[in-house]
Amino acid sequence: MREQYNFESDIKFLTGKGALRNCTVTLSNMGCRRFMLICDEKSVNSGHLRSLLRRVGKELNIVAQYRKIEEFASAEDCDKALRLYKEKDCDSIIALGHKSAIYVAKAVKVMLKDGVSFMSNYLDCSVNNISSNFIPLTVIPTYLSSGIEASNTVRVLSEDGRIIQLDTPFAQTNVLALDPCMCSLVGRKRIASTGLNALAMAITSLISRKKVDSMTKVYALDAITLITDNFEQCLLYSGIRKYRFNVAFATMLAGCAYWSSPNDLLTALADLICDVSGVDYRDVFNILFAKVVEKIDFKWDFDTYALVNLIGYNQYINVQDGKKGGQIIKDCVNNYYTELKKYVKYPLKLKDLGIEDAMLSKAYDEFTKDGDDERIDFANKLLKDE
Amino acid sequence: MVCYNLNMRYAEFSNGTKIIDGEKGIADLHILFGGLGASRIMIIGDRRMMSEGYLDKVKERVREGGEIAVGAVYLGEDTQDSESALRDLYFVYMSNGCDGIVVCGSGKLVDYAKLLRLAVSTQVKDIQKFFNNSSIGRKVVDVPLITIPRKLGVGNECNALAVYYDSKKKLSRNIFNELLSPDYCIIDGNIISSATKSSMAYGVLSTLGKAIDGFIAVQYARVGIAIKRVEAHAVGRIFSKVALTNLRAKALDMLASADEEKAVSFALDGAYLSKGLDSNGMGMIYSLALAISDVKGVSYSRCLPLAIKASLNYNLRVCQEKYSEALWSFVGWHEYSKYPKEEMAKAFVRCVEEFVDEVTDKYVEDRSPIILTDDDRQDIAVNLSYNPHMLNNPRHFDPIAIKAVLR
Repeated sequence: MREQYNFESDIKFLTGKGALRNCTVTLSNMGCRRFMLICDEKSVNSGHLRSLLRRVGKELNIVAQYRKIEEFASAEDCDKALRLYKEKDCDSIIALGHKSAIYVAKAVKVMLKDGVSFMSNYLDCSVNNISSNFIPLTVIPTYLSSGIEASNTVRVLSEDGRIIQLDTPFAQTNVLALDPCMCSLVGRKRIASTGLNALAMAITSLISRKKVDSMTKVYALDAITLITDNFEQCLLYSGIRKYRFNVAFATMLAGCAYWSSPNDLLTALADLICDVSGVDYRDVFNILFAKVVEKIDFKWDFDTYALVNLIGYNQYINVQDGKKGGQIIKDCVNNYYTELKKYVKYPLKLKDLGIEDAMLSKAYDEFTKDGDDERIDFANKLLKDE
Repeated sequence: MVCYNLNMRYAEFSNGTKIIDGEKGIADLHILFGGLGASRIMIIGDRRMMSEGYLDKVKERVREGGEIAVGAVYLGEDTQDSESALRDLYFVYMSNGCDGIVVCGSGKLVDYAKLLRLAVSTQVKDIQKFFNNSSIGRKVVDVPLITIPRKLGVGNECNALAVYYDSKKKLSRNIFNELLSPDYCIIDGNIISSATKSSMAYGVLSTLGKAIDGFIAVQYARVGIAIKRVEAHAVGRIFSKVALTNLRAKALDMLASADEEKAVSFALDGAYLSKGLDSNGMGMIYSLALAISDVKGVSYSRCLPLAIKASLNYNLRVCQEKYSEALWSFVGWHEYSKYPKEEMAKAFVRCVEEFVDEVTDKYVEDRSPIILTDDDRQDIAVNLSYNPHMLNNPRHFDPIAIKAVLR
């Protein structure tokens, strides 16, 4: 099978104070002249949009703004944003805010590439493998994310309530700018779930069966070190921007590592449970991940010796001679959970999130409807004790 | 262990270059150029690759499908004068109506291809205008660029940095611009593994030098009203850490065997290190090797053993903690614990020196020492003062100390 190329530049990361200002130079170098800004209502209300425009409004020629996106991205939003993009003759997209805004921006990019006018067309057909025009996409996250900004995934809700999911390299982010001034204030519980989510994604990418490059390894290890070193301070001093920035940064790196080699079964099951129950994806993913670590027998075929050399040690990662790589990782996760309990009441079962048995059964049926043994075994291990 | 705190300092990492390994990259050259919007390609290579028939293979792959034509084939030399080489390249590119470049080779040839791209895409013919790194080149025309490195560990095949030899001042200028980073870098096992052992050994030393430079690099940050030198961004250091881990064992294993897979794996590690650090991680080893090369007129690679040893000793006093940490990565945690705490920095220097000697003694063909006179040392110190990458070095620039370590 031929490699699927998207002919776009790889993700460039701009992080820290001044990332937004420097972003304008990068975008200018990329030849962007007329920008369309896509952001969600939350970011408008919280003042992030105003803050962004104050900082870069003069340098960037933003000719169109689409800012009516609610918590869930809908196909209608994608269609309207696409029409606005065409009307104003834009040549690049900036996505600001939460997951929904990022999904819409990615969807618009894919639709423009394929020359499709309605997002619902993707219910019946897949994304065209042929690349045509390159539309630079800049993402400015304003929250502690689940790494979506670095992924190639698009998930939007169609008018009849069905989920349109695309996983294509053509939805790639080109510039990712994480500025501390855009890090929203969040509660401890959200920090805990985001931190744990970052750890889960980073570890999942390290133990992935898929071939990963050294870049992915670097991001995953970086995220593990960053999150374990800053987790406690972030929970204790959640109001201090510096710590929130560190966690957001770790999440971004972990997301980048995870989405280049995702655990398809884990992601698919978490997605289904979220769709059925409407609870936060990160919480579901974290609970399932803990069960994966506990119950699934991985091959742990990575080099233990190299792993220990790379991660080093801290209060969560105990390096002991003779311990296997898998055991070190398992201990790390367990230590992290133990520490977490000191600060927040953290859900350990799906039922603690308010998910009822009927919802779980529905998700189970949907997940195993193909009759694939691997999927049935996976679902049994993870959902039976619920 | 030092707590990993970013302090919200600004950092850029990972440029836009995509790295492809294996035969499929070469086979898909026409698809890549088609996707990047090019239709008439200029092939840049050297005589050796021409005689080996590699350029013909590239030509064939570019033409496959019949939609993309080869506009020109330029045969250059690694040691050519930058000004005349670029003038020639610009003339050939424009007169043949090319709109894309593929460069097969290494060293300066890749730099020239990158500089040609910069000149054409910004429509600024005079490259000297980019000597000041604050000048921003605004892209006007798309010039797709694909690099196929001939040697491993060089690094310029996937970063945003190019070296231009300024014949008036008689020194190499480092030009940094985002437009210099290629669109794709194809690591072809056939060509990488066909290099001589000596060239591979230099590739190993180049990767080692870059990893050490990146590990100890510093940056300038605004603290209150003053500008202070601070540790380089932690993410950059992790790239170096990953490259340093198992480097010794991997390199010796690769050099001892003639296994193509091992050579490609090592080349990929080096390429990802260059892509990740981009030009932020270049430091004294790189600058010093370049300066010695300019002054003595020998190749950059030949100067690496001397530059690595001199720079390690120059920085020893100020890098105690970083060298100790680097030792953990370089020798592994089993061996690390054998050294007493106060000896760890020195142990790192010793281990690296031993490794450099081992690689040089066993695999490098031309082992004649580079003899430096007092005048040479003076010239090297002057040359270094022009190199902006010396600012990344943790120890302040001290010409007397530099001359002393080169003695």
